[in-house]
Amino acid sequence: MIPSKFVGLLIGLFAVCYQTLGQQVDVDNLRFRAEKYFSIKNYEQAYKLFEELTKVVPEDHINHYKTGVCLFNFLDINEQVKSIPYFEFAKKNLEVIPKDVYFYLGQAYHKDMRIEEALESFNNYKRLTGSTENEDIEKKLEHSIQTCKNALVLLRQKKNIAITNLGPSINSANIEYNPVVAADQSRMAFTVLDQSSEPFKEEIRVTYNNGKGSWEKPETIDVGTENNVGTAGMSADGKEMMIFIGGVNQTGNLYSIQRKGKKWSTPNIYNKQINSGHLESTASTTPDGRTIYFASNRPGGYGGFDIYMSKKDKDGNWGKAINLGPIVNTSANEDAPFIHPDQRTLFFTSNGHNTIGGQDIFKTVKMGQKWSNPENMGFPINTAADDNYFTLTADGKKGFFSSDRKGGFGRQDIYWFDMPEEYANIPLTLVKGRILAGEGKNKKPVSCKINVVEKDTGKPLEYVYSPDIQTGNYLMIFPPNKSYNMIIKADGYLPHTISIEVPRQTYFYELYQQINLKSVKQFDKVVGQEVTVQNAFFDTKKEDVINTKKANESMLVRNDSVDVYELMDLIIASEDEIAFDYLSELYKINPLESVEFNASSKTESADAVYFYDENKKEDLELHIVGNDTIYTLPELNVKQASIAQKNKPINKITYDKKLLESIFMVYFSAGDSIVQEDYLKQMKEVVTILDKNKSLGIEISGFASPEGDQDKNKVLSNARANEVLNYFNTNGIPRRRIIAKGLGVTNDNTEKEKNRRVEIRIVDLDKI
Amino acid sequence: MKQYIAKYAIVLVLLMVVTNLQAQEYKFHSVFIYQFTKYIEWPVDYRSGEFIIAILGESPVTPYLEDVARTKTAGAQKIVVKKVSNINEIPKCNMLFIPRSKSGELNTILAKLTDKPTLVITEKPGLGKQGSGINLITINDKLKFELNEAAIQKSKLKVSNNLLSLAIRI
Repeated sequence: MIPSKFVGLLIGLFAVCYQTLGQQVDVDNLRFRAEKYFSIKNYEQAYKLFEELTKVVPEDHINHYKTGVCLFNFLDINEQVKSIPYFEFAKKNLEVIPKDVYFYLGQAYHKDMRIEEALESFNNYKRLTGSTENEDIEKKLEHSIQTCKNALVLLRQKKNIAITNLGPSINSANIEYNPVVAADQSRMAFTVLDQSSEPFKEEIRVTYNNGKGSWEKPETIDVGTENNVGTAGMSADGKEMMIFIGGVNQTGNLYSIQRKGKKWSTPNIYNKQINSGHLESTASTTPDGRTIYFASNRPGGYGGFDIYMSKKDKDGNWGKAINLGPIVNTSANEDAPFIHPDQRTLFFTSNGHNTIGGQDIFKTVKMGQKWSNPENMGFPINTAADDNYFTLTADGKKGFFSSDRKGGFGRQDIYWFDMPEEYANIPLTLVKGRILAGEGKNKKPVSCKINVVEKDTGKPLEYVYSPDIQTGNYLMIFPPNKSYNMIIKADGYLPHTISIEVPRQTYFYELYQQINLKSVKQFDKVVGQEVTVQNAFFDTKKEDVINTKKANESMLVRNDSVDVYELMDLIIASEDEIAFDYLSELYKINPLESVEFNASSKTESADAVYFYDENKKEDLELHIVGNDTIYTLPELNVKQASIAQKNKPINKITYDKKLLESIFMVYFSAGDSIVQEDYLKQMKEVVTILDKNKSLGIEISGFASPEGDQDKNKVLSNARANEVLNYFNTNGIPRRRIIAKGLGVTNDNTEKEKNRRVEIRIVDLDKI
Repeated sequence: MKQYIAKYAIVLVLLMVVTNLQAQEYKFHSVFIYQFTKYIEWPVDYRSGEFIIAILGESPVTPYLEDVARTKTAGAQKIVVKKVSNINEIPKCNMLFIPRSKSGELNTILAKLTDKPTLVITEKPGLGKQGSGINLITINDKLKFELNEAAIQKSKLKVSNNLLSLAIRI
């Protein structure tokens, strides 16, 4: 038993020895090869070997460190973040591990959006190395720390936005980037960089929206060149694409291609203002095609790529390229401009502003002549990875961009997200209105409140508008593509409901509105009211640009963004008459005065007369606005009524024309307004005629004899006319069919008693 | 959230523009009046102590001028806005603003202020000719100022050429 045990042990021991010996040989060999690859920075090969090595020698800190470095140098972020556990292990033995393990680890944490841990690592690194490190690394470290601090701020303001990968039909292990989308989202083009080919090959693919919310299989656009081709921009209608064609020698130019039927035209190169001989990479044009924003690394900028702007001159050529200036452009790169159809919101990609890592997407808004300080689009649109090439659909609701963030199908992928309404750049409609009451020269502002209710939801808007009592002016702002009811409560009038339809616009609109209220009287008695509404739409896109510019500047001046006091001081100091005039222009009192409601083709005009005898309480519309219950006259839809009133059909004459010739006289006794029996019979006949002919009405004229007190006579004349009128009214003829004509004193008749009369004529209501 | 607030802030500002359409113009009045403190020179004894802008009666310009007084100075002088309810209370002041509603009292006021270096500012067409130093008026919807050189000279005030070049001189 014993010997056999011994032998067994011996054999066992030998086996172990042999194994260890063999392993030692292997480990040395592995380490040698791994180090070799590591030193020539072939991290992919080195990684495989180090990983193997780590399996055999699991406690080796140096192996861990180097495995981490390999992973960190991979191109794909999903691999890069795998370096974290290796560095975490390696840093436990700082006696053998370079101190920069903390720098690596910080960066890896950063990429994994573990910002606080990243900051801690960076600070550890700083503490360990002091300020003796070389300047470049120190700069890089400071930048990393700053970037993490930015990230902390933006993470705290995290936006509630879901970012969606466009999926495997679009994205692959290749680099898909720079999506450009037509305003109606019918087509999207993007650039694909295939790294498996040598040299790298870049091409454009286009995909069409199948209308069911998904994209068809992308097709490659062949523009007939062997060079690299990339998307640069797409016109709002998707019919024109700006593309980049570049060679290997680091130059590249912008071209345009047009869609003709199912094909794309051969590329046309942009002129020398746009293409400099250096690298122009991306571009975006305004929907009117008159302004282009593009990125270029030409000399004379602020460093790296800068964003430039050019406008078409009157001959249709692109004018001098203008650098957008140091607010937008930094010493780092600004690229991928996207000008929103509102023509004043510019999105771009930069690694120079307050990024939260790599490239981020920024937004700047043109205020007057100045661009606002670029604003980071925030997390989760921006991450520590490269987030770039942003494009927003015209309705401001959907954003597309590319990113090499964690997850995805490898390297850069294309993503989209729904822009929440509160962040969306909504093309608003600004209503500048005025409400007056009365007639002719007596039109006056009236004490009045306007409630606005969203028609679909019945939701009242937050604000109750009170037109200025001095001028009757009001100003309201509406998002597009919705209908609203304006409930107008003016002193002395029944409330009106006026519905307005804000167009489905993609631009900033101005709507000028004029409302006039008027009492309708019959023989001094208020029997109804009339409302006239005129709307004039101004598409600020189509009006000259000055207007929008002015509107913006006016806003700046008015909302105290500018110190007008100092501005005026400057103007006076320089005796600048033009500026002086311009500044006062911005304070123009009433823009409504300058609106020609009749000249604009985009005018709607409608009026409605409401007679109280037809609008009993049960006919009124009930509106519940917040806590208020308001009964209003039936809704006036300005758009529909305007069309209806313009295209009013000419009714065929169906009555006997002779009817119009008859005049019925009703005579009265002196001082009396009682209608005698004889006349009642006559009037009944008129009622019968009116019942038979709905297009006819009556005109009632009251007369009074010239004898005695004039005022008294007028009162009496009105009383008599009213008697007659009431007869018709109570016998089923609504006031709408009755025209009251108070003529007052008359002596056209020699017989005094004949001056004390009321005349009834039958009239065609369509012809008045 | 930040943008959310910003968006509504803009709406609010615009709303304020509406409600204050009338009042807004008066900010521009105050912009002018502040410039007059800079481009008009008062005699020595009016150049120390408080720089007093008196306003006769009620005017929408008052809050704007009070704002100016809070945030700006007239040279080294502290600006003080004094509301005056009737012409007998008009104090020693550098400027007197006569609102449109009190325009009728211009002549009486001018008589009272003879030989005093008080710049009389009015806001009704025609009052420039009638003898106010500066008359703020609206021409083609734009606020302008008439400057009556004779009246200002009489008040022993000196107007800079810069201001003159932008004024409607009477």
